[in-house]
Amino acid sequence: MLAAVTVLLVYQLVGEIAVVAFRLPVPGPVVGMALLFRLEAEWLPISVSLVLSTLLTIAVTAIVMRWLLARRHPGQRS
Amino acid sequence: MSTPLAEIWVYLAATPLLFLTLTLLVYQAAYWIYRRAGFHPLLNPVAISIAILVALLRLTGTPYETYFGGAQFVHFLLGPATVALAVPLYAQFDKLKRALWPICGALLAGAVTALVSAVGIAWALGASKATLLSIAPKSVTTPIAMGIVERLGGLPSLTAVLVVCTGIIGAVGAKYVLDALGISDHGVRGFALGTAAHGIGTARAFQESDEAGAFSGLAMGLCGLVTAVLFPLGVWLAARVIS
Repeated sequence: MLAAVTVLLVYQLVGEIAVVAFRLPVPGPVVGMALLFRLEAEWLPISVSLVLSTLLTIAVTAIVMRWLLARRHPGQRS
Repeated sequence: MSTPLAEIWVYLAATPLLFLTLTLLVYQAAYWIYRRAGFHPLLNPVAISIAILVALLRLTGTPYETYFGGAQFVHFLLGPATVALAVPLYAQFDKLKRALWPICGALLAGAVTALVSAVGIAWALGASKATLLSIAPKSVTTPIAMGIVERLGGLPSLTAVLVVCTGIIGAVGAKYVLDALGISDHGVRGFALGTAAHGIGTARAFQESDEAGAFSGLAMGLCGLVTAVLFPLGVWLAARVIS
């Protein structure tokens, strides 16, 4: 158990070092007020976009993958 | 005014123990509700936990910083948990190898759909430019999404909220969409969930099966990578076209 956690943390540490070394994007500060304002002003386009786009993405990804799998293995249902 | 109760509260409010324990207890309770309801997708345990915790923090007037002092330990475990996704992934290695091209195709289609549809719909409904920038990477994991948005001049904090909402929408809605389309392959179901709904979708996929979870974890990682490249490229192209 402890050995497994150690291994995970070592890998994570290597990853974090890579993030710093290669200047990969890191989460920034919290701008609370601007955030609240925007959510109140634009809740309609935001919520409609989130729901429709997320469900559409699930559908498109699944359909494309099923189609490509079926093309690769003819006769095998997926 | 120094009643024993107040003293206990002052002590508890100053240690991370209270809010760490509270977070874990609330999730246990939410999962219990979820299980009792026969794993009904609308009763997603992440969504229920957030609702309960927000209500508790508001009722007690606890600032988010105080809460996060305890919750940060759970937050921290997100790192090793992500690394550990390699284990189920390895178990599915043979199936993954055979599905290499379908995975690449589905990934590209999914990542582009997520970006274009989120921005397109919000734009059509009159969202501002900063909101469009912030909503675009909604389907990728929080640190990547926030990082991209920050560099492009959006609002990373808004993105963090939108990413979590997206995860819950995906986790709740996926079953209905995938069942309606007749998608029965667990690899495909998981991959679609991970592409559209990152870590929260992956947690949902693991409830279906290890295979769905493995494909979802893979999709989450790849989608983050592809979006980190595609989104800045798209913004750059759009700026070129406009000017």
